Amino acid sequence: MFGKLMRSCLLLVLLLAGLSGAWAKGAQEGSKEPFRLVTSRWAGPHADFQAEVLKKFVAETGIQAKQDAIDYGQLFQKQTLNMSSKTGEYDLVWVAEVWLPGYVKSGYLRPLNEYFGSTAGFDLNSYNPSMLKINTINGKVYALPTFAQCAIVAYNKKMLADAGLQPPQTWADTLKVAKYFKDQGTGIALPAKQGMAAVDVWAGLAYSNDGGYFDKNGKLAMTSPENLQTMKFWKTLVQYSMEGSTNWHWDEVNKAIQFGQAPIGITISGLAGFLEDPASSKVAGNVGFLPLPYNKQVATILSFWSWAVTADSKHPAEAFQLAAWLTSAKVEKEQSIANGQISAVASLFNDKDLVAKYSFLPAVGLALANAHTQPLDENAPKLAESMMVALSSAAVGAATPEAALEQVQKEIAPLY
Amino acid sequence: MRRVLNRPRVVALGYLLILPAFLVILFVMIIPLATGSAFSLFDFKFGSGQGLGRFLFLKNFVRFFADATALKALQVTLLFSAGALAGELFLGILIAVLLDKISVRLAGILRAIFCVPLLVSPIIVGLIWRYMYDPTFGLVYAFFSRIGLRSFFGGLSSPAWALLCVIIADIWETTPFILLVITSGLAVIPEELYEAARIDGAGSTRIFFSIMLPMLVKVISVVLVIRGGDAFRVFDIIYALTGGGPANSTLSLSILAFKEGFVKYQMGYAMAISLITMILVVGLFGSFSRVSVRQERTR
Repeated sequence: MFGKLMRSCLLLVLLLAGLSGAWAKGAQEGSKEPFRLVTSRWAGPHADFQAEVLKKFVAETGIQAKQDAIDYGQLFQKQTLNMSSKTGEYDLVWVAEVWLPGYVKSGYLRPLNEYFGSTAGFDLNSYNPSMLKINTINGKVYALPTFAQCAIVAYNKKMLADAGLQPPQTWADTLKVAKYFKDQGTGIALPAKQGMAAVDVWAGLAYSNDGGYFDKNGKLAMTSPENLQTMKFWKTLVQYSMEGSTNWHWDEVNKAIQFGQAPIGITISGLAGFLEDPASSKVAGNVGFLPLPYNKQVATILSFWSWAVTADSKHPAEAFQLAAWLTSAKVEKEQSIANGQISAVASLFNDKDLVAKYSFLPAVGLALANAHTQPLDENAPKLAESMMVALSSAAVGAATPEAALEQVQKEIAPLY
Repeated sequence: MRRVLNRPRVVALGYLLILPAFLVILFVMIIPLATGSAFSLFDFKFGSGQGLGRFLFLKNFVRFFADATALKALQVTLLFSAGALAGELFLGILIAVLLDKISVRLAGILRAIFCVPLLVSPIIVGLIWRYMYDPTFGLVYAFFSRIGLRSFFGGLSSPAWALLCVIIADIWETTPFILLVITSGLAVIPEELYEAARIDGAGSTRIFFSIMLPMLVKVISVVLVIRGGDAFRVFDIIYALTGGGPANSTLSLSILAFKEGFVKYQMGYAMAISLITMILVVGLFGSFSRVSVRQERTR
């Protein structure tokens, strides 16, 4: 009896295994479902709008497309896991400029040059040449640039006017304005949380002071006099910042300005559109914009995202067609009008409709005239992490500006 | 007529029946642990496309003990675990004992209210408390302003206060679990013990320390094993609240491993940190499970 039971169980297990294998094979071979392109990007309001925009691509071309939008904090991990295991799940990936060299080196992305001539309406010259140059490695273009961002100053026109203050452009002016409002109980809203936002702001300030990460010989030079001066300026600015700024990222800064609590703040251009939206902003129509404060010349750190075709995409030509469509002037303008995002299409910076709706565009245009990127080499993540700790330490008084920069120099110099 | 089953066949059936569970443990625990351990012996750079990298043997482990940031993360993790466990146990036991003394109906209602934080995911708990602690928008600063102690409270912006703030948020989230476990432990204490103690003239305090606590040792041991391991591996609430800052003052071992692996792409070192964390958890809290087993055997 027992032996019969055992034999029956084993037969049942074998039968189920066989059936499931046959079903999977049959599903694979017999499926008549058309393919669908899948894009990977970070989630949020821009992604929600883009998901709607994708439906127009589907309607125009008949090619199915869907978006996999996930939290920014997990995006790199998920993309890397997919592409390294060659699942073919993603056709297009939304890539930050600092990720692109690593992806290319790992063989995750497909060069796009072969599709330029065969895709109707595609014009390579329509893109911002600086961004396109960053996306070109060994003579091959690996991604089409799209969403550009840089830090800018946003200020409440009425609050400054009531205080008799001019919108600040230099370091000295900014400290004066920030101190005035700090004495009144508020201060400047800063993204001073231990994180990448603070590093982006600091680097922009450093470049505006002829500082930066490396000297003319390409050696790490964190303790240069210009960088030290910048770090001291950062520390003083944090002292005049709104309470809680040392735990704020871009979102919190933007909200403080948006709800009329912050008279002035350093925010990111990608969120500036929400300040102008009357439906959600208490200061819509009352916000002025400027490039980051400078000491010697206006400068900023440019970060931008691009669409890249994965090496394991099963439909690369169609994927490129989608990337070209998403980054075309027509579609980029539609997205820019909807949520104020800045594209890489050079002609749109001076587009009358956009400038009329988003008054921050001229400030961004000014800043981008002297834009730098964060380092793009393989040691850049370690440098960035070390700078995050240094900036936070200096901001909260856990280290002097000199000690904070010396620590970065000590940790990271051996890598270069 | 009774059938007598052949013993080897019964044993074989037993193995067959536990095979699915074993396969799950094999693929979900043993293989990933073995893979992670193997990665920790190499200079494996995540996403580099260059395979496992150079063989380092135990250099990643030696690096941990020479890395000031890693040692700081260890210190923060130990402080967090001790503070969170102490607070949760104290409050959990206190609330459970107090609820035991009131009417069953009211205790049930209050217990349900106290257990609401259990229904919230840790990341959302972190976000809730992040806004609670915000000086401009948050309730905590509003409260301290009312009692004139606003300038005294450093909040998440201060390295001296940030860890305490995280511990408080964790206590809020996890005390309900302790409460439920202790309540179940109190339920099995025979009523006769209390009666006998009261007849002998023992007051509430004496009853608590001489009857309740000794009878709860096994339950508390279980709580220490479960919660101690969780507290030592804390990630989500710190990540949501502070990201490990300011100035690495709330950087736990798990967050350090995450940053090393997914921000700096040093996956080999990240695996070594994770393994060290696992060994420390077993070393620190494994002994409490033996207390529970020993108690069972002496009955």
